[in-house]
Amino acid sequence: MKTIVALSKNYSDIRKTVFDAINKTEFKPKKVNSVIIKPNLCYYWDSSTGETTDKKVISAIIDYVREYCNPDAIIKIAEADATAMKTKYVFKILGYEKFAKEKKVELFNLCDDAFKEIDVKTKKGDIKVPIPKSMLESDLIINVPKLKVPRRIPLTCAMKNLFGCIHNPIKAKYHPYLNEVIVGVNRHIKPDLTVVDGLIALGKYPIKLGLIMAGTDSLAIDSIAAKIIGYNDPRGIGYIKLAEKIGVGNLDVDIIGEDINEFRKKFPKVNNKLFAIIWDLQLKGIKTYVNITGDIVPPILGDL
Amino acid sequence: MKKVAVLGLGKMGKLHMMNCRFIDDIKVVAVADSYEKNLKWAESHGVERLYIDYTKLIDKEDVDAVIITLPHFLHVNSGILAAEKGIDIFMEKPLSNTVAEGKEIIDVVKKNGVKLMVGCNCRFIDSVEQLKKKYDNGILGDIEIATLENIGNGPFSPFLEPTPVPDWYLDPNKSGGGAVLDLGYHMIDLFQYFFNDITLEYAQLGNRYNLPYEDSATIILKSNTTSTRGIVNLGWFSRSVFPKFDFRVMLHGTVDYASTDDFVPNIYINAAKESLRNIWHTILQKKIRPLSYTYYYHSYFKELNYFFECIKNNKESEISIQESLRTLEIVEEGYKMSKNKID
Repeated sequence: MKTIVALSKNYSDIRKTVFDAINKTEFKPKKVNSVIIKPNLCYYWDSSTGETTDKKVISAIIDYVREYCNPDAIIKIAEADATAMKTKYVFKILGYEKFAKEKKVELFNLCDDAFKEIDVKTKKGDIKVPIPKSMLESDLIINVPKLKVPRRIPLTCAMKNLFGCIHNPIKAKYHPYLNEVIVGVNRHIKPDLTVVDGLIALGKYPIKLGLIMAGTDSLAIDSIAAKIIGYNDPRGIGYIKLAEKIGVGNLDVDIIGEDINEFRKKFPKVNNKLFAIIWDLQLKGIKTYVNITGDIVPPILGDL
Repeated sequence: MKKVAVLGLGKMGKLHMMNCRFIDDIKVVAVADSYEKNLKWAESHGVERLYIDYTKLIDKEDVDAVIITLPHFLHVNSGILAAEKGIDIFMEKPLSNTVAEGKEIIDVVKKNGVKLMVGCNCRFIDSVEQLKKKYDNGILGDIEIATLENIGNGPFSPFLEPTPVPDWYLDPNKSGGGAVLDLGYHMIDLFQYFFNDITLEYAQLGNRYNLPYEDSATIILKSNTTSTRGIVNLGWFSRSVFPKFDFRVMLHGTVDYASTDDFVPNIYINAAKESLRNIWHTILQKKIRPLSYTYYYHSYFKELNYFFECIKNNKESEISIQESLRTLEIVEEGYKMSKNKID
């Protein structure tokens, strides 16, 4: 059975665009008391860089929940500490503290939550991954990822944003089994709704796409995101292929709204493999040079 | 052989420690850092005496000079302790968090007759040296306006793998300030280096990132010697990636204009050229130019080398104590002026 992914476009009236996108999905507003909204606040760079979720999108979602679900619902904007990011700083630096007061919502560090350990099968055996209970037990969970291509990962969108929920700041620990852990987390965390902030998407460089994408199935969302960033077959992305294989989500999608090709054409494609090859060659070159001459590695490259 | 200690092994401490290996008659014999990981790193590079507590290092070690690369708020205490023990000091900028603290350090430095130089590596960037030479030769005429720009990523990571920001950097009581104290210190120093006797005309601070201090600023300076106005633009808001470096000094003169950008080579060609040169020198067992392949980072070696030359030859540094204090005064005036003018 097909699932719907809605594409809406407008850079000026974001509230209307978000409402429009949500209303086209299969999401059925229901009376809820506890709501978790999970943006992508992976680091301290603001939404103009394409790295983090725009507060205007979050604002529209809060309005939507208050209008269609429950005006008195307890809404939490939730993010978990990461290897290089602390939520106590990111909420302040990116203006979420002030925003939360204005919108009368709470800010929540998922690493402060109780957690449940899930088992994830990897090639090197089963591993335990701690998941915050709020992401499993809240009445309504809304995932609000960015659409972006970080340098060493083929795609960050709906499913990868939930990887960011893991109740352990040292997420690098799971990078050796990234595909398995992303899929494992998504087997357990099932957002009721995903609203992708593609207003400024990040590829080779940030671009104003003006896109809001919404749906109820994380895999379906990511398959359309994969097409936008340049994949003809979304299964070219490891975790999408794995998710389909073990039945986490639906790849049979009906796109409603804007023409996907408009976003596909505009998205600044980035060849991650080529970038990684060139980058690794440069690093190897520097290492070899340093070994020969005894020269120094610049601080920006750390200890190489 | 001068015995040296490095206090603080963050990025700058490590860089200075490594640069010491290329300076004649200098040996780093002791280091202090609160992180054991950093001490082990130093040990792996041949440093034998390791301290968690920098005050104990100063107390116990018989060294000729210290390189202080501790968090800003510790500059005053470490500087005073070192000076009281008669140890020459290379202080990574800023001199201190406040003018009052700077004066305390300088009083003890003068009383004990030790040398103090604050690290102002921008003076030693090749393109700055070449621009200064052009200006000094009068080729540009009188300089009516100078623009000085330095926009970077501040404490944030610009790179592939984001790195954590040290907690002290986000505490204004410990860091002492934001872009003005960090990058502004360099640019104010450069304006002073070019035009002498400077005063502050205007300062406006920005705070895009809701930090407990400014992450951008525009400052207007004036030289009482040459009447040159200096417009200084500073920022911590850019995630632009190395080897891009949004740094320049531009001089607008009565005869001509010139910018440091005019002298910066293509970074990749420079890297290839300098690497080959250094490999060739290694084969010939000659000295290499540390970090010259990065262009900008070589300036850190030059400033440190210059500091030790001053010690060895018992000469005064051109980066004088008075200039360093004046730079700090301008920074502090900028903060006060901005508070008065901007809500």
